[in-house]
Amino acid sequence: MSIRLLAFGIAKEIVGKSELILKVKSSVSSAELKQILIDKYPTLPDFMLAVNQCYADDDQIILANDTVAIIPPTNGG
Amino acid sequence: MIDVKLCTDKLIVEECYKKVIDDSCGCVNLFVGTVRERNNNKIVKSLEFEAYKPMAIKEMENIAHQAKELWSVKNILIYHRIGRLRVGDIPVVIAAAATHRREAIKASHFIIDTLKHTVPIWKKEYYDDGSQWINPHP
Repeated sequence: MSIRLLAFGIAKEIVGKSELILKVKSSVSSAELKQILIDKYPTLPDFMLAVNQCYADDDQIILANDTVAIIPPTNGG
Repeated sequence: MIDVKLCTDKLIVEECYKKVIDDSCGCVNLFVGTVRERNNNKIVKSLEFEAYKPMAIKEMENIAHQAKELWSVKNILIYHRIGRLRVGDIPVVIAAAATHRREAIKASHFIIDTLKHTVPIWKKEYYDDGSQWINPHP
């Protein structure tokens, strides 16, 4: 299935764009997707994943049509 | 009342203050962030704040609700600016109005500390000789 992936900050620079479509096997968990991204982009700093604008737990299953965002360490304020 | 906003316009402290004052409250605690000219021994020319806007708004609302559950606070305002800012500009204003000072101060302290860790906003610094995204936990 395809996942819509958003990238921000340093992650956007490493991935090379702010939005991409990633093809994965069905029923991938948040932790598995994280590992796929680490393998694909080894220079990514420590990051979290957000699914549909909420921080995801490791065991959360990503569904088709979900929007996933790579959230590098935040730095507002 | 909870009022959160992301904007590219200049933040006006007086306006933020006026939004939270209430006759039932005895104080307003304001936290105002400012862009400083030096970070890690480099002279900062300007900053760029980027946000995952819809999630940032949700997280700011979450923090405000948590603060209201933890302390007796009447009104909370969290405004964050995004885009390009210069030294001296204000990236963030937090205002908390409460009956008593301790609640307002504790709520503001909690809000700014939590905002830095959970609200998806990122900062890039620009120098004379380049730029870099700032990692708060290198």
